[in-house]
Amino acid sequence: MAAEKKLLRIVACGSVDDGKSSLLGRLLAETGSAPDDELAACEGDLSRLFDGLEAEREQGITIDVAYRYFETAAAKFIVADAPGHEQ
Amino acid sequence: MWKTDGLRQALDAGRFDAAFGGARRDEERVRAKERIFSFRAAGHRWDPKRQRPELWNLYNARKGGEESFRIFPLSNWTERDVWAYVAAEGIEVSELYFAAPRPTVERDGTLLMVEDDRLKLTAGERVEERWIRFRTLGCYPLSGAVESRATAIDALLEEMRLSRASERQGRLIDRDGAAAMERKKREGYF
Repeated sequence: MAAEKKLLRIVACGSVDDGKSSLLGRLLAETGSAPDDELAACEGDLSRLFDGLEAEREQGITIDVAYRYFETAAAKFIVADAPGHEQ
Repeated sequence: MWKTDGLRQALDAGRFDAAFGGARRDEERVRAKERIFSFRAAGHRWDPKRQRPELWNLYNARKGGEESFRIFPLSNWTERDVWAYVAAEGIEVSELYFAAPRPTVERDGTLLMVEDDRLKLTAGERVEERWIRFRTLGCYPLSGAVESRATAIDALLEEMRLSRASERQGRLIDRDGAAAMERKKREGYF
């Protein structure tokens, strides 16, 4: 099955407002890994591909880690977007 | 209702500490926040701020009397992983996942299968036969179909590779506001 591809795990680390969610959202968009309906729901703010909680959208921050998945011909990727603040 | 109130009542009646589910993070962006051991407070309430770290494969199953867990072992699987596994193991699945000509009506941009007289047609709606299948199956008639000619798993996998629509796009209950899934999960939905 497809799971035999190499699996790479990526996590974005950094301070609050460094743009971790936006960077990873851009990664999904540029690799064609974000569905059109999800991109439309983002209304141009690609961080919303990860920041799915209502409070995250209202406050513009990542409150809790989110995981997204995509694959290329060579590998599968698990992408984790981590909060930039102490809980 | 059945997947929230009915589920809560059943879990309470059985006094279950944990319930396993097949939800995957890849399905929806609120589910992308889920833990594998999802902690539920009294009343089966999900609070994303009260979830626990999951380092490597270590899970914290400590709980109080009224608290519980929903456990999602397939969290890191994608839709393609599921179908690859179904193919590898020869698992029998519902025919509705495969394309066939079916009586269909289009309502608000969603393709609904007209299985019987439970679906009341509104003015101007017309039943027509289309080749459709379901990527996801929920309560009837809240699951929309997709037009497809994929009648076998290989064709499904290829269709998924080319699709630009999310897996749960056909679930009407997800469209009840931007925070529909989050609200349902806070109420006890899987």
